[in-house]
Amino acid sequence: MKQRISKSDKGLNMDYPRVISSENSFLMQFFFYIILLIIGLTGAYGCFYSAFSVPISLPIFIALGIIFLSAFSILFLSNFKYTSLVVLIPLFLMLIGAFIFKNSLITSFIDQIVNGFILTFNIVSSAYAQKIQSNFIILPIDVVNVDEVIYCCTIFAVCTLYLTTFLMSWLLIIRKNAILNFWLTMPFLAVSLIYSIIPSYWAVACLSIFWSFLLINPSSYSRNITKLNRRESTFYSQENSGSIPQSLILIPILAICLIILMFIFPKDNLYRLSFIDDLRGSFINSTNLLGSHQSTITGDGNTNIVNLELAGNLSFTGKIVLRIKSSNHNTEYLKGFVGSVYTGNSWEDLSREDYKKLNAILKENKVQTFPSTFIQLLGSSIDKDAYQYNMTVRNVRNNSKRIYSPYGLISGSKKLKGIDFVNDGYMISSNTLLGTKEYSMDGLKLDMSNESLSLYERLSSYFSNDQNDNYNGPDLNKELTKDFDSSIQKMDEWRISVPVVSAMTPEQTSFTQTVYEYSSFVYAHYTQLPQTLKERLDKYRDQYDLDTRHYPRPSDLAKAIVDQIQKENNYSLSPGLTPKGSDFVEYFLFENHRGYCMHFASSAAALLRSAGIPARYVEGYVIYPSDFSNQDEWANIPDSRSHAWVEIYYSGLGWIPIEATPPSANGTVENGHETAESATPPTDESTEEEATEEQPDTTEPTDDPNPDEESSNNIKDPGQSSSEEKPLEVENSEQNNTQYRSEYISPILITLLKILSVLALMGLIIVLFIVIRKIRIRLRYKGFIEKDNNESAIAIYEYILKLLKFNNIDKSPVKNIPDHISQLVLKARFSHHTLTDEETEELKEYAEKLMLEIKNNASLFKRLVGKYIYSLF
Amino acid sequence: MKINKFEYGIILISTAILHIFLVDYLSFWLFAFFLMLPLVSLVIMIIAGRGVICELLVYWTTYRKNDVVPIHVKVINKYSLLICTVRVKLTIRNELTQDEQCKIIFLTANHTGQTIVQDISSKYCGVINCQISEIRIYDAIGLFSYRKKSVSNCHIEILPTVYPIKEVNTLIQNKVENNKFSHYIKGNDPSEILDIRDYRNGDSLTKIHWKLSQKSDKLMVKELGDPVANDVLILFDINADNSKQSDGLMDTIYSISNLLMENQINFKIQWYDNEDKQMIKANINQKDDVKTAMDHILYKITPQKQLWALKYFISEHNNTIYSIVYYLCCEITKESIDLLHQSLHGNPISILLVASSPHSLGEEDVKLIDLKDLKLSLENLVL
Repeated sequence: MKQRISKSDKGLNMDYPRVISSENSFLMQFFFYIILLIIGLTGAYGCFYSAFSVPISLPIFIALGIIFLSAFSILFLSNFKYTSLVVLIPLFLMLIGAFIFKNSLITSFIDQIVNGFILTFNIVSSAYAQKIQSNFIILPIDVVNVDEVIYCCTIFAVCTLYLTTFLMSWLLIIRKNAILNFWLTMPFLAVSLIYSIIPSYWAVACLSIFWSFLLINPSSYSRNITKLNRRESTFYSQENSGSIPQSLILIPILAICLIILMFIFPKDNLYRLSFIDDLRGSFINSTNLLGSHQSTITGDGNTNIVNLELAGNLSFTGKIVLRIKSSNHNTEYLKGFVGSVYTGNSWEDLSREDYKKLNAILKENKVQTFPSTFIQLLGSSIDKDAYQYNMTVRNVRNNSKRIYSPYGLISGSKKLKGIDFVNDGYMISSNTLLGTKEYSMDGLKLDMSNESLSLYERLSSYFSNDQNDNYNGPDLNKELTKDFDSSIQKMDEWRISVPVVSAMTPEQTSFTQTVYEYSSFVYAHYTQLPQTLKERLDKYRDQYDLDTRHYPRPSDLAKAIVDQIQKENNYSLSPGLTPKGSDFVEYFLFENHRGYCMHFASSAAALLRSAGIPARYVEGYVIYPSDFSNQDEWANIPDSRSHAWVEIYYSGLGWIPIEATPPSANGTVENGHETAESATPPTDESTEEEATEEQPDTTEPTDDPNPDEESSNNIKDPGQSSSEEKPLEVENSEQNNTQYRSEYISPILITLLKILSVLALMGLIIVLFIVIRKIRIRLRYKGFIEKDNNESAIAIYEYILKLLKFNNIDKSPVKNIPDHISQLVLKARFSHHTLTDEETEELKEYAEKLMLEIKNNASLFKRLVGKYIYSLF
Repeated sequence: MKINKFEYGIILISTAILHIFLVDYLSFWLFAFFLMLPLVSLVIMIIAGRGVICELLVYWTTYRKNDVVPIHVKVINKYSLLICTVRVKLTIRNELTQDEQCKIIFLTANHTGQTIVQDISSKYCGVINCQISEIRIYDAIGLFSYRKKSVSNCHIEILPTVYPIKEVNTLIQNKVENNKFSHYIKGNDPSEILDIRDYRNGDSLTKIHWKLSQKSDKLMVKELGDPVANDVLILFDINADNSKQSDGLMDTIYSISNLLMENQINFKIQWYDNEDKQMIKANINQKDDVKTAMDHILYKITPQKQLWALKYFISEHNNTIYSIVYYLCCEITKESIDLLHQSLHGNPISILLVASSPHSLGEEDVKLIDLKDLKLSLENLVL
């Protein structure tokens, strides 16, 4: 009864309550924590490694995980004072050892950890790149052996496991902090979900159970009770052990809930509410979350897929993405990506097996250089207007792996160093890490309006020009004159005769043979379509007589198909997303009827394929003569020039671009008849205006020499865009209104997001200061309550000195300390006696009084400095 | 609970956003799971809450002022596998000073039980009524709760402090003729000889036992007995403005009572019980009577503005003669003093005014017990 409660003015005082309860046995506590930690770690690591398929040795990983968990749980439960040192010292010694004993086992071990990190990073990066068609950093690494990859990844995983286990155990057992445990494990799931990479369901279930257990477990072990109990009127009880093993019953209950949900809402019959999709679409477009891909149409990286599911509403920033210097100032398509396989919601590359076959056919030849090779080996009067030019492309964007090349490329793989040809489609940078910022290539400007472009026609033209004067065999005109119908496919089925072969050089023969085989490959692979779509498109074509019977020549058929598409569908930058499960082309052609170049090009390619014409979907940039009006001869190409088009195959020339998108300017977007000319490839100035109008960017570049101003002129004004599209809005649904509205406010939202980002950064810095302050204050007070009062007194004295120094009494702060305080400190420091509790309390009171005095007298700025920089109060 | 709600809100919003942006069953699954979590929590709460028992335990009931009084709050769940959060509102109230404090305690009700010790202390005397005024069962997330009927209370008595008082005026004792003599307190009553001893310098000659001195051939002195008065009255009114005054008044009464008892002076204490609306008079003949009377006073009496005890005493007074009447209060008017004098018909009266500031009544028989230094005031007090 001699004990006294802290003094108070109140007549009645209620002191800080204390818990008296029988502590669970060590074994029970261990059992409780080990189960909980296993679930948490399984969930966290399961999410990460199942999402990215990083190769690791699972048995080793699991075994070490259990060892770490057991060790840390025992360590923390046994209340060993210097636990953190025990954990951190080995790591520190390892690092020191690595520096001292170079080329030793430790260094090798660290190398393997680093390699493991790089490999894991690259795997994650590749998964991201593949998922969203964007360019991610790939770190260079020499590891090639599969076993070595597994070994390094496992070592890295184990290292992270060691740290994660330590932190989780510490947070759970010592700190009893659920929130920090949530933040610690959440990134393991977020890192995959952020790019829609789905981890294994069981892992997510484990993590969900772990989180929900921390949330709904009524035992207060997972709460920072100390903070809660600072309020005088409230007390949160905290069990001594913190663990209530019987609460583990919640784990099976939660697991059962997850299973029940799966039964109630089966995975296959899930119906996603339309308003959620609408919300998603409008939010994505209004905030331009996928801007890097969508706003430029063509992606940044070298990925092999165009995800049409993401082709929602479109907007442009107007930023310059390419600078081009060229002696050819005509309209030109720069090819960046070619889609070969249409899946219904994406354009992808062919399979590896197909490319193996293709490379066996092509040998050293490159399809990208077919036109120039044709002219070089079998040139005739049809190539009379062709001329050579040089083009330099400077990629303004950093880290770009995509190479934009013109049609009629002359430069082969030997000349284009640092650039790789991707099969028969497009090109990418060899530098997987940084990409290629600037490259130069020679091209051949072709007259693509020539309709005689089959191999048969080229050979006929070649031999009719009497270029082969030394030939003494049979009459070639007779050999080459066949009674074909006008279908190019029939012409391509023509096989070269022996007399013709004998009239050609070995080089010509070899190339011709390659072209024949490639043509067969093209017809076999680039007319592929999903069966259901093909059937529907066949009916569609039949309805409008869009077939080779009515249009024998591919160019005519392409023109007719493009005309029909443009006639029935409207150009719009806000078509909304294609609903989940719908075919992109089907939805555009038969339901939505609104879209931009990606929709028009995909539909045209699909219709051409269904008609038996080899066609591919292409993404890239289009440049116009007016772009070269700058004094420095560099054309500045903004992101609004990103474009998608179709290319069809001519066996006598190669792949030729076909424009499928109608012009959107001058309110003509709804009138398909006015755009019939657009089906012909843009070749010269005469078609320039039409071609310009066909692009999403309806604003012609001005003659302003200032590139920045020009780019700003090219920026599509949202208001203007909106007004242009308004007639469409009247006709369409409320959903479209929402989409337009969201597009309209997009710049505001972007600005808001920028402001929020800045605020978030500032908030983060503030939080950092607060956290550091709290840690320092906690450490200081820990020193104040040492078991040895003398140590406490010295810690308090140090604090007093800091306070006095902060208060600019730095010359002789000791003199400002009252004598009795100094005496107490001297006694604590030099005497054999230990200070009494009262004496220590006196020191504390003085320190507190001094702190309050300094704090109250300090200016606001000084107070903030003292509080957050020096953490003095 | 707010933190739980906040955390749950964060998780739910996160999963909702995930569901909007991630077109996959997983996002729906997670969202639905966290959406149904409150339902799970509610069911557990309803079942577990039925088994919750809350008890309030106090092992000692009498303490001194400023003593630490441990109160045990125990929560137990009779169901072995279910646990829930219980919010206990513990209220303590000093019935004398009307001071009240409460504390909200969140406990986990499990089968083994959880006990917390709430230490309380009181600066002032009185009866502390400790009560679990509310029990609320919460679900784990803190979204749902319901009140459970389980009221438990106990009383703790904080005794007034006994301060030493200088002395009792002997004149008071001499004024009353009484047949009862103290068997151990020496006085001047010639009818009762307590002891015989050798003469010491300063002894009165009247006390010399001459016959015995002659026989023993040395001077012997008679130790005479002292009469014990039993008609001292302590009358008081707690017309205190604040707790300190109430406390000071009770300290004074307790100190006087103890002094009188030590001096073997029987007395009476009279006060107005404002709960039963009547005057209570307690005869104090031995020490235990003091304790009993104080218990009664502390349990029943509350501060009041009117001088009810004085009024009732005057109206009910039947010419009983007291050796002295001590009237204690915190504030009194001159009219009241006059009225008291008139009703007692010249009986000696001593008015003890327990206050912080000096009075301006000008009466000789009004003594100030200064609250600023109660101990000193009582030390200097001569009854």
